[in-house]
Amino acid sequence: MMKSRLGLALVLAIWAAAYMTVRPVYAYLDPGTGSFIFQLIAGAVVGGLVVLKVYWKKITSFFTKKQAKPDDDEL
Amino acid sequence: MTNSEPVAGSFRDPSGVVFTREGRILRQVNSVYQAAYEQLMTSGLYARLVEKGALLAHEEVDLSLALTDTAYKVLAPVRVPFISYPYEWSFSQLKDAALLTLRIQKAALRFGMSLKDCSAYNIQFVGGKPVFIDTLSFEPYREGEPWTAYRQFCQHFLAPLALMAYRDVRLSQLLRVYLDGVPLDLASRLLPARTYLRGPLLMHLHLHARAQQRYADARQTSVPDRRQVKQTALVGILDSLRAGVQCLQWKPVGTEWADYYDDTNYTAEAQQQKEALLVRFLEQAQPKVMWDLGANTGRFSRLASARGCLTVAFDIDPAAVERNYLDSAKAKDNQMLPLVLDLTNPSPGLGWANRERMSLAERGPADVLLALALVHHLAIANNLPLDRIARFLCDVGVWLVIEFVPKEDSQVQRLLAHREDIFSDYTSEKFEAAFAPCFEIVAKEPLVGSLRTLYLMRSRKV
Repeated sequence: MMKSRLGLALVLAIWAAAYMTVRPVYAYLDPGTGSFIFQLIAGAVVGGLVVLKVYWKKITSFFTKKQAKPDDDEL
Repeated sequence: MTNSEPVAGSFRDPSGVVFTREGRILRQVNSVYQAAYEQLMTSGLYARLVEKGALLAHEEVDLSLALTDTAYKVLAPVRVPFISYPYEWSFSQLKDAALLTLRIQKAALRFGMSLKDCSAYNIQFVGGKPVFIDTLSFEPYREGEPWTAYRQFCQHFLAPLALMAYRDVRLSQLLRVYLDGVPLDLASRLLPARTYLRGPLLMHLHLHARAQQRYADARQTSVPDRRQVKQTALVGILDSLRAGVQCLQWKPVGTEWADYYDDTNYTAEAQQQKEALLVRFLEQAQPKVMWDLGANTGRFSRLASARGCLTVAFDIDPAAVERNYLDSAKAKDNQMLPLVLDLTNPSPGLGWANRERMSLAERGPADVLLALALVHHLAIANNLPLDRIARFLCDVGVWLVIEFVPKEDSQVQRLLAHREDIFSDYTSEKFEAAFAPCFEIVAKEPLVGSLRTLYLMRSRKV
């Protein structure tokens, strides 16, 4: 899981470094639009990971027969 | 005739307003926010967050106390004893505030609500811990809606934390310039290239900044109509932000003051005498609030906090403040609030009309000011005349415990080692004379094993 994540990050990083060097923004602007559209894309990527994680937990808990630990970070 | 006035920083959100009325701080909930407020209170979210110490509790008070006729409810929140700002926090304070915000958003989603803003100014430190104070930040969650506060979270928390961890901890001061958080394009340009290898930082800072830039001129781009962000996607973003914040580390080592106590030539006996004197002075002054100016890692501040006195421990060194915060959290010292502050340039009034964020002086006066081993830094390292130091201290405090460090002291000699001694007025007699118009000397004790003197003074203003 960790390895595949690292690999994904690496590929994205190379792509980003090649095409996405950030230039300064001078114009008055509303960064809300970009953030909004970006959230759709980012959400699709990490949302997929959440689904995978849930299935992965189900599979591992089936074999280890351990109860899933409650999230101690949860309020 | 009642004395009601809106708090200067409370005007952006039409849901309500914070105001003062006869010395009390109250929050008006406007009719437009009625449905959201009812959902917060009846869904169990409010009770859950308050029970966990995550949200500032309030009680509903009589509607006749309202500031305007748009009121639906008036709330009396628990009073925050000292308001601090993100540019005064150490690394771990900002990090804890960030993690709390994410936990609250995740809990809110479970109860069918969502944070509509994610300003770091919505967090205050109460009882040694971060607490969310803006009761009106919750809105009903509608399936498919994106998280409106996502950009703000990245700007207020993730960007400054990443800059502090990867570049320099002093970059927290960017928050003093950019009140709505560090612009992401700026953060992206300042961060080292290796942060592109950290998934969450790549995504939420670098690519996010690029997307903002790309869609900055919305006339040239068509915004997608299908505004759908599934709840699993929102949870994914929150988990990814949490991972991004948690992976950021900063260790306070090797800075100016963090090793100071190991570096001084005090004997154990001298330390004990100084502590005993301080305790005696504190018992005389009986403070509820003490400001320790130049607190370092808080060794002497603890004498006050241990007596139940709210102790705001300021220091210029982010490493010392970080150590104090972590040590106080470990010791469960709920009266200690360590903050980063350059006393020669204290936090000014900021934001709209210079009134949205209070200056340091506006947040006073403190019952007691503690100024140990400080005056020589102000007078000699910063060329501040003694009478001006006295006047400022008189503006922000009632009692003053101040240590005079004479020129012959090794620490002063160190300051003078590479500069001309232009400080002919720096003597204990002239020190007392400079303070005399503002303060009355109540007690004066020599410190054993040194040439220093500890004074207890009381402001003549009172």
